[in-house]
Amino acid sequence: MTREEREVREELAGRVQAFGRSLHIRHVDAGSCGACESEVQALQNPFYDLHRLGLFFTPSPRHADLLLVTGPVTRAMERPLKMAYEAMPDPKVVIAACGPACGGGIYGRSYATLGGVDAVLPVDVYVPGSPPHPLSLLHGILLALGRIEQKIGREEHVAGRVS
Amino acid sequence: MLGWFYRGLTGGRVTTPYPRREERLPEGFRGRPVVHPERLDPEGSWEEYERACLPGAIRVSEKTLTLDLGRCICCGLCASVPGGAFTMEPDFELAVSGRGDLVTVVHRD
Amino acid sequence: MDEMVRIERRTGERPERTRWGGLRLSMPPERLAYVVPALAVEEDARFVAEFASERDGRFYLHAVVEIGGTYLILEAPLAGGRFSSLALELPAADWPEREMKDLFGLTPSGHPHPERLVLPEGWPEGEHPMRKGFAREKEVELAPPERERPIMRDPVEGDGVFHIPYGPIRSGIFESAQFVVDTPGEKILRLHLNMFYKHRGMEKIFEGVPLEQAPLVAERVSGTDSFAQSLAFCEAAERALGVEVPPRARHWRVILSELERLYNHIDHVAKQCEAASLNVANARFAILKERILRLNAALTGSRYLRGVNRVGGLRFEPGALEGALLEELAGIERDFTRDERLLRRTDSFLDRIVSAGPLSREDAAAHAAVGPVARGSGIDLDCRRDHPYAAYPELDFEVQTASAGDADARFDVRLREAHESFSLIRQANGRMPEGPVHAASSAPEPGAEALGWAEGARGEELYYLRFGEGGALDRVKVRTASFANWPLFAKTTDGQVLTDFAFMEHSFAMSQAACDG
Repeated sequence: MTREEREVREELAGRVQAFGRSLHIRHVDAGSCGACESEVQALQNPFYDLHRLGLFFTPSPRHADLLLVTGPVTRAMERPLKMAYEAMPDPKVVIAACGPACGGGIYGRSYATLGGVDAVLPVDVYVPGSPPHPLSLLHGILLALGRIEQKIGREEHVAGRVS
Repeated sequence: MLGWFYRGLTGGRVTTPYPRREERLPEGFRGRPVVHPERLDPEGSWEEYERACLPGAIRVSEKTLTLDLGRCICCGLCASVPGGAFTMEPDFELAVSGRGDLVTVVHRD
Repeated sequence: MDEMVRIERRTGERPERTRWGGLRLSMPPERLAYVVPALAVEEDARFVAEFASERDGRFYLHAVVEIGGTYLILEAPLAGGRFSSLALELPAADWPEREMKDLFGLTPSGHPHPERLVLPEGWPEGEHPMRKGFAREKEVELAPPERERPIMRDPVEGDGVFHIPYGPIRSGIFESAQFVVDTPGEKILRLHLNMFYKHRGMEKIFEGVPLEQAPLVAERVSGTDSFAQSLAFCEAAERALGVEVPPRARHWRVILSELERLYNHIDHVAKQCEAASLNVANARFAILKERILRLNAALTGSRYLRGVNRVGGLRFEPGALEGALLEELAGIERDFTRDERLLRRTDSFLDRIVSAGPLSREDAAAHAAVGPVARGSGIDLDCRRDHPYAAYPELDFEVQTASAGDADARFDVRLREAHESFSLIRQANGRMPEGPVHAASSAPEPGAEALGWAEGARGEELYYLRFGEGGALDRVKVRTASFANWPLFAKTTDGQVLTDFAFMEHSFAMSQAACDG
């Protein structure tokens, strides 16, 4: 993470703590299979209840702090996605939420798809999964806001040996 | 409308305490594949793992096997390859800041 | 066989009975252009699909109809790049022919409005992704958009009439699609559907994918229909290969299909409650949906029943539906029934859906609607009964219909279907046969083809597949229920009010990913 990225997270984390302000998430479907939307919607059900964490979905990018993108980014969604991002005021963070949003999934880069959100926007947090479990989404959102730790990272091993 | 009012009060609490407390997904949930390097034969062929993977999350070269969670679709086919080098784990705290953090590399030596 | 006689009467030829159980007929394209409408209009055949394929450098036109309970595939080799459109006589052929024009470059002569449908705006002429010569990874440059107004066809113009675009990014957590409403303020004069923002090129992806992995592609055609999609695909492959799926797998396929239907129908109810601001009801049905997703995960490791279907049966033995899991299912049924009862007495809610989004039986039939959308308008069709598959032939259930054709009728049909689902799961589980869950199959023969289908929560999900050299998938045509039904949505909104839009959309409960391919 660069110093700039860390500062963005810290500012967003600070807003909730210091001012009791809620954080707003704008979701954009950039061509997902539909299961991801179901899991994002689940965040609002009583089991996950993201409101208790001061997190809310907003219909307007102008009020959003966080952009949650599902899907590989289809060619047709490239421009609307960019427009939503540009409409968001700073500071803002972008989450690629689902396998295809992270790395293209089975669609990859093709005549119809761009291979992942980072082909179009700077991504702050990647949440893999097909679809990502609502708890994975929660973990990813909190990570983007600097409120939780990252648990996995790059690994190097040697075959035949216990690591 | 009164009916819904009372029903709302009697539902009980189902909300997860996460992140305040740890949460665990049931065994068997296909959260992510994990590679066990000790079960990969340094002299053996690893091609079958690459062939099992439709989105190309598993790539095998002469000297390495790479698992990229960023391309994974959690289908579990890699875990069915005999040899057991891959298992599916019910992990869910998988978010990362860097794209490269989703990559695991196993070297032949 | 009655259908044979009827088909011969209209086509002059006796169809062949295929190995997979349906009927097949080849003919010149001019005859097909006459035959399909004749069968639809004179013989009460239901239009199912129209699509193209390419082999050995030649294009073929295919049509699928359902006549007398059997699927009939018609095929016509095309000499050039044109074919006679069926769209004027069969409104259901409108979108399929525009899709063929975009993806294959075949021109439907006589189509009333053959505009771009599937490919993104700015797509250049002459590039047709489904042609064999077009590599899937080819990057085509899109021309920048130049228009000043949203895309509409035949808009209602007049003093004080606005054209308001909603989407593709919607105000809420919805799949991306654009609706353009012609309105003076509250009343919807006309609705224009601009969809296919989510087109990912699924059919092209299938080509060349090994059969063992192909069900994973089908699952992603639509994430909330994953099991129905992979089941329809597997059934098509199983028919083409002549594989007999073991009885235990056939019973599990019923249980898992019905669990998928249940969580979708419950989701539909939750969304209608949310639209009505009935927040407690919304929360309770959302809880029920989550409980089913968790049950799915307990049985299969996947909340959306992915990675389960395999050509020949199932990939693994699911967790047993007994003990605590069976009690949980019974608890879900009890709670669902209680909440449904209260909801059906909540007049303020019912007022919003009664007479909202009316779909006449005539329109539904003319557009070849499927699923609860069709059944809510009095059309009695359901693949589970009409073309039984999996273990359905051995089980008892009633197809649910209603006649009012409004959002309430579709709500009512889905609730009654949900009860049938609980019953079907208990029946299939109670008679679960012993034995394996998978049967091996031989390699596919080049040229082997078949249809597969499943009655998903949204309706008939249909797959046509054909194998090429070396057993590779040469052509997979995916005709989803959502692709069939979405065009009809615009017919239900004329004269309705904007505030009821959410109820009307939720009453259709279609999948955008499934439609857009």
